[in-house]
Amino acid sequence: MIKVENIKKYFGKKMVLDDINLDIEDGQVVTIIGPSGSGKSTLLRCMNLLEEPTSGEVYVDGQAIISGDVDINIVRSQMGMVFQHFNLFNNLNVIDNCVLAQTKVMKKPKQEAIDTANKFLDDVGMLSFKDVKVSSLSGGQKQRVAIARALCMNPKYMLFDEPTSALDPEVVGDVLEVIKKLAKSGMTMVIVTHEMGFAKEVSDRVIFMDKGLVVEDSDPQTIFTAPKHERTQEFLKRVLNY
Amino acid sequence: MRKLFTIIMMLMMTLPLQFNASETYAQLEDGTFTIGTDCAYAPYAFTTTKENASDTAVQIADSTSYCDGYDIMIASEIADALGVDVEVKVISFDGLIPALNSGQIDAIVAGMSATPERQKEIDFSENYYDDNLTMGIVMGADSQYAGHANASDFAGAELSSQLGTFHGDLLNEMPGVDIVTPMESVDVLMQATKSGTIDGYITEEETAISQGNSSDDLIYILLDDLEIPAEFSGVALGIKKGSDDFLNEINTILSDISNKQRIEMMDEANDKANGEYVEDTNFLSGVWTLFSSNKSLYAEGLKTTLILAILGTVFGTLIGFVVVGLRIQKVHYKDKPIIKVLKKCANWLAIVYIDIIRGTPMMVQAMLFFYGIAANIMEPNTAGVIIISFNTAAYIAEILRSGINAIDPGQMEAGRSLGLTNTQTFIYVIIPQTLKNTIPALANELIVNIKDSSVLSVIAVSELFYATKQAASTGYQYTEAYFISAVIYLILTIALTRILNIVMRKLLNSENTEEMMNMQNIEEAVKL
Repeated sequence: MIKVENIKKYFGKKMVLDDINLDIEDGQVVTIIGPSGSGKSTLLRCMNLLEEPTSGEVYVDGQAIISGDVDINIVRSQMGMVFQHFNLFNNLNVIDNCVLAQTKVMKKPKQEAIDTANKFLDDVGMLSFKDVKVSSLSGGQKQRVAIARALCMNPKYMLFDEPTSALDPEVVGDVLEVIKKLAKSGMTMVIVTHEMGFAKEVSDRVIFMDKGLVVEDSDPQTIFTAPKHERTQEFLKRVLNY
Repeated sequence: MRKLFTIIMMLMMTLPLQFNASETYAQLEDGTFTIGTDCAYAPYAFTTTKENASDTAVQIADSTSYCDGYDIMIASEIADALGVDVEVKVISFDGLIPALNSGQIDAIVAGMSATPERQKEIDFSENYYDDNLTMGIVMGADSQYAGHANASDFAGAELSSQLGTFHGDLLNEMPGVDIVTPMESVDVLMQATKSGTIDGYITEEETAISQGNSSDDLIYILLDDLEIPAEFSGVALGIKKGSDDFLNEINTILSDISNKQRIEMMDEANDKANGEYVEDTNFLSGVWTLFSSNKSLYAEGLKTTLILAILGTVFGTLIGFVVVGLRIQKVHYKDKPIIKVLKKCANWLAIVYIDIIRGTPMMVQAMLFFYGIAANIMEPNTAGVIIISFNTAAYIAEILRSGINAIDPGQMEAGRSLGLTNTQTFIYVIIPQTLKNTIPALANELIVNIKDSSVLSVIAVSELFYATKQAASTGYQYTEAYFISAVIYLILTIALTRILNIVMRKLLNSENTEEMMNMQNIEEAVKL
């Protein structure tokens, strides 16, 4: 379980997160939606401390990861993260992107790491590209490799930060397909996204954020068909009617 | 009883020491009598090649060329009498006294006069040549002052002298002379005179004759009526202060060389110096003659320059990585207080290092490092590699820092999100990309080092520029010698630029296999 407790985040004087409290149960698929600048990505990045909250605490499996005496690198290796801009290691080819952290963090023997990488690359349909330079891949292919790279660490949680926002429309479907497959496998996931149809289909729970606050937190059916809050209604009207 | 025993013990301990001290000198412990000279002051000392070397010439330490002349003959006589070999180290004239005091050489034998200023710093032997107290002026052949012979006839003439000599003081005794700031070396004075920048320069009789005869563009005039204070007349050996026994021994040896012998030796030296000089009417054929007779000298200089530049750039890159590693340490609020202090210190250290190196000329760094620290413990060429490495490291550290800053922060975040530590992400992800992006700038640094290594000639590193100066000093053919070195530098930098461009293109288009190799190499280097 990921538990976010009284998280506040300032960038300089600007408040980005205003006292957020959130529990993510094991096995849940949670999507976070909301307008740009609402703090969705920042909240997600606070969960594995890529962003340090100004105050508050994050618990992962009951362990306080900010004030507690934990090895943050071990915690992070258990929380796979997929970025909007993929962030594949440009100096490594596809397979080495997937192998590096396995051998350095998990201390796996090289061959075992390669076997694992092959398996997950196959799962995302990228096995035939395993020896290719990452710079020669398309955006959709990169993102699928990035997902495989995170999965190679055998994570308990997956965090997705707008995984399809930087993709050409025709490849968005491929990536969403991979994430859906993962969701069905029972993985605990937190997804920041602008894909409303996808959010509705894949989520167990949808969180609507605005101006650093959690405005509405409900099941997808309620949020998308009968949103309680006025700001949620306005936002959905704008994105769905477009 | 015990007292008596102690006294006997002390006597026994001191006796052999005293015995040794009267037999050998600290200067000769290494079995050689090492002298310092600029070897560019014919007929006292001048550089020559192996092919042209006479039986009195001595090979210069760490060089393939030879030094010959009156000074060398005298030094050889002294070394023979002392029962050791003579070793010749070539050092710029104003670097001689520091070199003597730092123990790099045992004596200065460089046509040096025992002036009161110099006597404050070092001791001098008796004169080993008295040049009749006559001074000469070297002037351009077409100068309006040509033909004058009295000290008072030079009113309005712009005259200079060599830096670090007493000659400039004598210009004050010549009424109306327009005194020009002393210049660094004979070659600069000769060039300035030939080009008309100055009308001429004052020097001692023997050198005035030698230099005035060396070119059709120059003449010499002897000043018979210029009175010279006694302390400026004649030339003597410089010895480090506090070695009176050694000084006395040398004076004894010198007193055995008669005046007649001295004059014969000086005549011989003059003949040899004049024999070195071949006047070519055609500039290009002069260049060719000089080049063919100094091939080995230029080849050695070229080799040293290349080694300096390559080693300097490689070591500089390694040191640069250390410096940039210190420079980019960021204090994290979770750090322990001691770590915070250490990180601040590391930042501070790197900034100060970069500021000092980039804020001072490499020539000054070379002089400070060599004469301040290194002269006693290493050869000039070794010191040269160290100086160029640490100098270039400061520039490379800044290149690397901007290279690191140019890398997408997402790369670091991706590494951290997978549980890699900052250091691991740096080694396996950031540094390989930084290297790839900064290779053009690093290659440029190599080209810069080829050219900048020339300043190391001030500490007698035998690189190309230094070799040029040596080749030139033999027959005073400075324009020809520098023309040759300009051509060599140009060919070298152009060729290297082309080669590096090809290598870079290959590297930047490299396939994954090569990139994997990079990664593997770094991995192994880290393990080591």
